[in-house]
Amino acid sequence: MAVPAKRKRGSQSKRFYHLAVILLGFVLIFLGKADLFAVRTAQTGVSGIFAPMFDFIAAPVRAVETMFEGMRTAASLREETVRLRVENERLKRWQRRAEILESENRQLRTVLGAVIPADRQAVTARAIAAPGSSFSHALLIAHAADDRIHRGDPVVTADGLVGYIIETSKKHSWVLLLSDVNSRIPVLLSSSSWPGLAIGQNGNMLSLSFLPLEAQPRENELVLTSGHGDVLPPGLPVGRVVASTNHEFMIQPVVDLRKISFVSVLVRSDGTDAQLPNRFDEFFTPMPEKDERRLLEGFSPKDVF
Amino acid sequence: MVSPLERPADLDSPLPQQVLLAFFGCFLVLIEGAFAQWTVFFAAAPMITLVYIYYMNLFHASRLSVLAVFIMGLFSELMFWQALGVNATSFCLATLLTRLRAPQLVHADFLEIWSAFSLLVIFVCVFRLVAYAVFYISVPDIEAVFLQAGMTILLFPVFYVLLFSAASARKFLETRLLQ
Repeated sequence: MAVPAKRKRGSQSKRFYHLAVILLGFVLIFLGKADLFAVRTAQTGVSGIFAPMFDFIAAPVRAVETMFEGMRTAASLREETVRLRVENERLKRWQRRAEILESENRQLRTVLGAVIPADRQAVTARAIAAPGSSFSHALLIAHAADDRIHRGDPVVTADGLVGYIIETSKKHSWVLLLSDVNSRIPVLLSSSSWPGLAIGQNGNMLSLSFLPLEAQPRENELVLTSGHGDVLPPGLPVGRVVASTNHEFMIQPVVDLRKISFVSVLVRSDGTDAQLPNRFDEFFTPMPEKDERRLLEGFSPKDVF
Repeated sequence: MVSPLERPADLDSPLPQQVLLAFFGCFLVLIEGAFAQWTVFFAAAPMITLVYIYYMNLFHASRLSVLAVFIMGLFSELMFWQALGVNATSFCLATLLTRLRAPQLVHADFLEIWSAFSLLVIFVCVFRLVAYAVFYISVPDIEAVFLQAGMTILLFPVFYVLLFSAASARKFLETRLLQ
């Protein structure tokens, strides 16, 4: 009789242990949501340690992808040649037009006295981990040891903005892609200059929110970073307006986020931090009680950050 | 009463195997992450780790502890910047469900094993979706979630055969070494 009782006790303790681990998981979910510094440090630490190993493991997988890409290219070589000829003609026309515009632009700058913002430098980095699930859109990049890279620095390709740095270690950094649900990019519509916010949705499209009611974005209109908040520089291409229903607009990113291999991190030349707000009370100013001015009028994000 | 120093070594302890298999699970987490670099698997890499957890709990439950499963989930979250605890909890729940069904499935034919795994994948995806929806009050790209679940279910036979072959090879080597 003693053996079954002992077995029953063992089975009960095993069940209790199992439930305790599941409970620990739920506790971790809530801890993770609290966005604790320790959690972020652990994530950066673990990815920093295992990134070289992961890079090594992923090399054959990348090679297979490159091989398939090469096969696809070879299969469509003839079509590609025709397409490139047409594109070459079109680009030549655009080049001529660009030269004319550049000349005109130079003349206008001398008239206006505008200064080209030269406070950024590019640090090239290689993407080593892409998002593996639809629940998080972050990218791990490897770069040379560079202490000028800080949180908030924009990450771009030749096409436009990819995202911005959220955590950085000596040789690796995490980039929050535009498409992540936590991404909020202050933007401007290129033609009408209406400001808005490009919000990631963990999908292919971004939602264009906080547009003034009068704003009428046009289909295919280019959306650029506005520079509000002094975190991202103004003028970086973000995407194009693609759909509009009931005054709800979406943005198709100009960069194909599925095919990122190399990126540039735009660091500040002086190596300073963007000074992101870490605590709400550092930038929150309570509403004055007897002040009847409209607070949002003339509101400068610099005051906030 | 025998002191710990006098006690003979426990050569049959499953602990070394459990530790090794936990490391192998973490290695599979990295492989799964590597698959995400293929354009076709962007944000929808097949859940190889889940196949491994399912297989081990079905046929070698004593060799993969719940803690090892939890660590694998946690490692994937820390490594790939995912919401903390969601993967770990979903993996532990998957372990619990698999162990509950293991007595019926262990002698079942492959189609039954496959269909049970499909249900498990759907359960894990729904759990993650619910956790995501609760935290962000929104829904992620459902198409990618379906693609990930579909890919995992479709590729299950491939990973199953690989794991089965690895287990057979290990058994074969063991018998040869013992001879």
